[in-house]
Amino acid sequence: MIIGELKPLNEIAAKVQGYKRILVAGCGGCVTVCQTGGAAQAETLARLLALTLDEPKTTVEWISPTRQCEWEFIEPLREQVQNFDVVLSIACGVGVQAVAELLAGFPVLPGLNTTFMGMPVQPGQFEERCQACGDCILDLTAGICPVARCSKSLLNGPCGGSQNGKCEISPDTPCAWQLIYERLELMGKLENLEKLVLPRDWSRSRDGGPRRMVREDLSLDDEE
Amino acid sequence: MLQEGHFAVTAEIGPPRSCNTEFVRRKGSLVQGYADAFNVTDNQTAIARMSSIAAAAILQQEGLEPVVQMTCRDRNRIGLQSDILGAAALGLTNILCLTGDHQSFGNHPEAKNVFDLDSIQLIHTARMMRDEGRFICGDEIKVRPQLFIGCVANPFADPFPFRVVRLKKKIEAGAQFVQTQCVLEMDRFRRFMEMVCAEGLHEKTAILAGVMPIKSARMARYMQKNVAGMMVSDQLCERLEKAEDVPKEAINIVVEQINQIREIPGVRGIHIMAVAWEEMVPEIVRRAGLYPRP
Amino acid sequence: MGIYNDYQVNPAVLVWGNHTRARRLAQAISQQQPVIWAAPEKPDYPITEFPGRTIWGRDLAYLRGQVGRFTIGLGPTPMEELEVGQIILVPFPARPILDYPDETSTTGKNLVFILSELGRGTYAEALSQLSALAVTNRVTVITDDVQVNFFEGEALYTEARLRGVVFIRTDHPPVVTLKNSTPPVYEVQVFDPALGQEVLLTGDAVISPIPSSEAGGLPDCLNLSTTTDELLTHYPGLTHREGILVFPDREGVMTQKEEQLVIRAMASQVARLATGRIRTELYYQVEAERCALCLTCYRLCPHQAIEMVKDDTCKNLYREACHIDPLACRGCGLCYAECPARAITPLDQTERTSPGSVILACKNAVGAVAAQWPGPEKIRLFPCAGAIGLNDMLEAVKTGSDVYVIACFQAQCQHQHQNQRAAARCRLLNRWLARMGLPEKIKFIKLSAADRVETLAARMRDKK
Repeated sequence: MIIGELKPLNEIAAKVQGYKRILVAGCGGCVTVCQTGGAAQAETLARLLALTLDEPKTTVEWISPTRQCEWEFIEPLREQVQNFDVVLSIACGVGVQAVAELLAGFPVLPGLNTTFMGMPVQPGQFEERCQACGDCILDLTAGICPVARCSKSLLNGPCGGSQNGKCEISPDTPCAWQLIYERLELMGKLENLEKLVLPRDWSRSRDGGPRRMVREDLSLDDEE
Repeated sequence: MLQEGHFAVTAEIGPPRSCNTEFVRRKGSLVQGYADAFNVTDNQTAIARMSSIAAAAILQQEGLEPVVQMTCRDRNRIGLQSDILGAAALGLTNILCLTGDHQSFGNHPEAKNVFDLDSIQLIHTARMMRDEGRFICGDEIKVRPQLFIGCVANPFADPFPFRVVRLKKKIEAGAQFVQTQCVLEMDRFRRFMEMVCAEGLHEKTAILAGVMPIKSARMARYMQKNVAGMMVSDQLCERLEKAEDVPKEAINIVVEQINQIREIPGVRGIHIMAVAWEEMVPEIVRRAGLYPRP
Repeated sequence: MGIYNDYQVNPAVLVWGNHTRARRLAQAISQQQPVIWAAPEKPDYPITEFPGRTIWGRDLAYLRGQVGRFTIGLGPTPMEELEVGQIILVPFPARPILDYPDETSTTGKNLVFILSELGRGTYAEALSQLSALAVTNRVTVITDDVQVNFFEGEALYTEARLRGVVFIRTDHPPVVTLKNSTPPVYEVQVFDPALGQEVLLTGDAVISPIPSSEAGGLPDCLNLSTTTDELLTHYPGLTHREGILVFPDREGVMTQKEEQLVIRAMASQVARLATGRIRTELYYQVEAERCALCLTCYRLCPHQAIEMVKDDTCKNLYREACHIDPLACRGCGLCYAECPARAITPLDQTERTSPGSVILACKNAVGAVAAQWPGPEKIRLFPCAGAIGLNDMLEAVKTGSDVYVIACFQAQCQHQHQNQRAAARCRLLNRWLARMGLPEKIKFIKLSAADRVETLAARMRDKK
């Protein structure tokens, strides 16, 4: 899922400065699951903003659609924003853009920093797992992604900075290649690491430009 | 040259796709004396070539005045700042800052791209390194690079009204000279220059209009339809299509364009982009009455 | 204010462990409801007339479901599944336990004690017990060493000798066999170095303490709290999970009388559920259509009372939602405070919401002080400090006054250290308030039900 973190509250407060009627919009999708952008957080943020702004001249309310990244779920916002000057969205960047597109011209502010695609490793702790590089090699790396989890996205094994299972950037960061090595060893497939991996094709990653995915059967053009 | 108020001429030299130094020298000698400075392109259209700094250093040995082009596609801020220091250390003080074509146009479309900085940030960085003696991070540079910083402008891209704003931002960031995308649609360029002059930008920087001789009618049509950020007038295409001696007509067109451009207020020179046709530069310069160079 | 409900519960109880007290417990429960008695190892003492099912040689591999409908996986492969309503774990006692007959009802018997490799305390307890039994019974002691180096040890030994107790000191382990007779008779064969020959003793009972090294832990798959001191002192052996009990093991030696008391208490505890008619109290409800299936409550519930239930009538995207099991829930309200989708709401909000309250208190921590508090600050009671959510705190902040969050001391929290969680929330909210340029109004206070009004007043003053 997509992980996001609430922006520093002073930044949020500065962004909404000057708006009198604020609608905080949570999202019932990924950011609810990671407990940073759900209904409860929307309520918390609305309450916090209400404390700093000059009530009763200001109103802060909150909503939380099922998912902010789908037109059908956010359509009611068209009506709901009639009584507001600004939407403060705490969905991921996808949700913010969808709402901004739906309400084209209406100010929509981001309250969340979208950080990564990952999973909860234990309650309240999330880790990055995938970078959407567009060309999965997890079969070669024992199910551990070096593109997302190696600080340098290396493809030919751990670099010289790997020590005691940790990455050179921080003792809190496990070396992804150490993990890969251990799991390949477990699988008796260490020979995977002996092959020279040549420069890879990044064109299917973000480097190739913004991406789109088309399911032919679901997106028939009218002309067909 | 620009400071003295002459109408400046610059041309372009593309480094080879090898380490053939003779090639660089030969190309240099072909155009030497016909322009005041020579842009050395940086992996133009994302095709891997000899580095612009190395090729420029060779041309400098030959007595030419090079302008080192630097794009943001292949280097992050560490590499760019390092190369600015390196170029300046070699005496290559003219740099032209560009964002750079996307690698999907070149011969390594599978490459990762960088774009850590954009062209405006790169201009700003270069100026800060020179004037304030600081890296982006704030660390001090004891011996500062002496730089003459240039940028490009494209009057033919959209949205049109923003083009002047973008140029203004580049000038504010520190661009001392500007080379425009090649002018193949004179009306649009005139309107652009009017807006530039209205903003007074022509007084803050030296604007050199790009010109390009087009070898064939087919190429003209291709550029008209397929190249992003280019505008080619129908009139131009038709002239080439009707011409009996196409190369000669192409040169005629460029010379006419140069003469028209010289009439446009605010333009301080021309930049000749004779891509893969460098040998025509002397003739163009001569026929435009810009030879010998002061 | 709970109400009685009829629940579908499985009356069967699994008793897990092969210690003799496990047998006695299983035996006692078998008189009222079905019992399965199982352990990883078969008991090394004779089992006679056990009415329930016994399973030996299997491990507890997994546990699914909730109190009243547990499914237990027995490993290793091939897995066997057991359906039971409740589970009682009988670990080996952390200290040696003697299996003493009751001295008041046992008379005229031949009793053989085997005291080997015992610590001082156990030996002292044994000497005292066997000396008492020797008044009306014939007692023989086989021991590796006669120990008297404890309080009144010499006197106890002398007294036992005077009462006719025979001590056989030997390093050779005795061989015990059970004769197939009614009533059962044990034959104990042992080498007596004093006589220089094997002797054969007969006894109506053989009593042998268990060396403390055999004390065991709890199976991992049950996810029980690892702080065993906390776990095992609860009476009668309740854990933080409903339906899973652990035979309590208090300090010192547990005599048979005490053990019987515990067994009776545990038997009545499991009998309560078996009726199916149970008084439960639900504080919180799930609005399934809001549930985002984020698993937050499922992972955090200190009593593992939350299940994910597939239900086609569920009006959310997933046709599945979290469900609070009324039998397993102890109403701490942590799920309510943490649910990011606001899908869990208090059932009786009006009763417990008190507008304008600035003291947000765990009802266990604040105890009687809640009723005696003179004000002017109003108190809002929560079932646990874990239920005091950020939004509840912010509601209180709106009053403009300082907000006091009152939690139990660490060991006193009934819901696995929710006081720590409450403290962390207070820190977070204060940080956020500071970020927004507001004063840090949330004051965290620890209180015990034994504290008085003055204590709370003093602690509030300290936080000003």
